[in-house]
Parts: sequence; structure tokens; C-alpha cells
Amino acid sequence: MEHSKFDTIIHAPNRLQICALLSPLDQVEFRVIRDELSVSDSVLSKHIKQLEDAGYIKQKKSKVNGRERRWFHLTIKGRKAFELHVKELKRIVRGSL
Amino acid sequence: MTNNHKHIKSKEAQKALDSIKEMENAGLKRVLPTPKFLGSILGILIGTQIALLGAEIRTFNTILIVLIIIMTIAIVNKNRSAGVTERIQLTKKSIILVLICILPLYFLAIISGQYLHSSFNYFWAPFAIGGLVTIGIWSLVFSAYRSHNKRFNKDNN
Repeated sequence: MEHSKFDTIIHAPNRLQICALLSPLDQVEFRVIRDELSVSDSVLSKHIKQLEDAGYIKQKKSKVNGRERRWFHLTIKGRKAFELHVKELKRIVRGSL
Repeated sequence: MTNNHKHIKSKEAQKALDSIKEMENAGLKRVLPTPKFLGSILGILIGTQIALLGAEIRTFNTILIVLIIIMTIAIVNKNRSAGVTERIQLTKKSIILVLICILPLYFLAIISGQYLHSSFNYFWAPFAIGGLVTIGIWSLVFSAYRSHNKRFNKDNN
């Protein structure tokens, strides 16, 4: 059984929300993440870049009616890191009780 | 000081956990089950094909296959247009096993219809089997809808 681990890359509010949105799903489109987080394209791109650099998410591009769409998914590494981070958050909450 | 720091930390952790739960639900809410009307039409098409093949009427088989493929593509596209795709928890092995179970059932339905039709002259049998398959697909589509609504209405309350 792996120990919980606080992840500073994931913990930033927007990145935490991105990972939480992606975690129960297979793939999510850029516009959906932007709408759910209520942030601008540039802010979202910045956070996505950080998660991509860490190897936590990957993107796939597809064309629909001539328009390019970007789909994102959590990598195995990202999913593991997110699970351990949630575990650590729960541990902190439990520890304070 | 330490207690205060711990308190803030745990409050922040709780806030983060709440935000995670909220986003997970928001994501799952976007995954809609197969649209009722598309699922119903697909059910009718598959049921009709089984009934006609069971009755050994092959005239409309090609057009039915084309329509079934078109409906399947329409359902997949409709789901993708929501901007999310569902995470299938089944492993590749389980998917292959499910397919191995479903395909023989499909052929069994056709062969049973043909057998009852030719051996016992039950001309209605293939149509009854086709009807049962259609009802089966409808109940799957509608139960998926019900469980989706139940789940999120529960969350909202």
C-alpha cells in the first residue's frame, strides 16, 4: 500500500480542479474544462502546460467540422499522483479531528 | 501557533476536498447516457433485423445494417459533442469477454427464430424474439437514464 503524498503541482486550486474534473472521465475537451473552471483560455493553457510538463496530463488533437479540438486525459502517473494527493488531504483532515 | 497552523491546514485541505468532489460531480454530470430517441431507434432497428432474419426475409438486411451503423455513429458523436468521454472501468479482457457473450446471443436470437419458424411453423416467433430484443435494448437505455437522473438528483438534494 502506497503512502499519501502532498503534491505541490496538483495542489494549486485551478490545477486541482482540472485533475478532479479529469479523474472520473476518460477524456475532456478544452472548452469544457474552461467552462467548468470559469477561467480564460490563457489561464487554462498555463495550468495545462504545467501539468503536461509534470507528465500528469496528455492531450490529443482532433478535427471536427474543420475546427481543431483539444482533448485532455490524466496519464497513469497523473492519476496516481492525484490519488495520493487526495489521500494526503484526507489524512490532514482526519488528523485535525 | 502550531495548533493554529494545523487548523488552517486542515481547513484548507477540507476546502480542497470539497472542490474536488464538486468538480468530479460536474464532470460526471456531463457524461450523458445514450440519448433516449437514438437508443430507441437503435433498439427498433436491431429488433427488426433479428425478426426479419429469423423469418428468413433478407431483402432489407443491407439497409438495416447500414442504418444500425449510422445510428451507432450518431450515438458516439452525440456523446463526444458533450465534450467529455466516459471512463470505462472495464479492462480490455473484460470488454472482449462481454463481446464474446453478446455476439452469440445475437446469433442465438436469429437462429431460434429461424428454428421455431421452420420446424414448428410459428411464423410469429421471429417477430416475438425481435420484439423482446427491442424491449431489452429500450430497458437498458431507459434504466441508464433513470440511474443517471437518480444519482444527480440525489447529489443535488
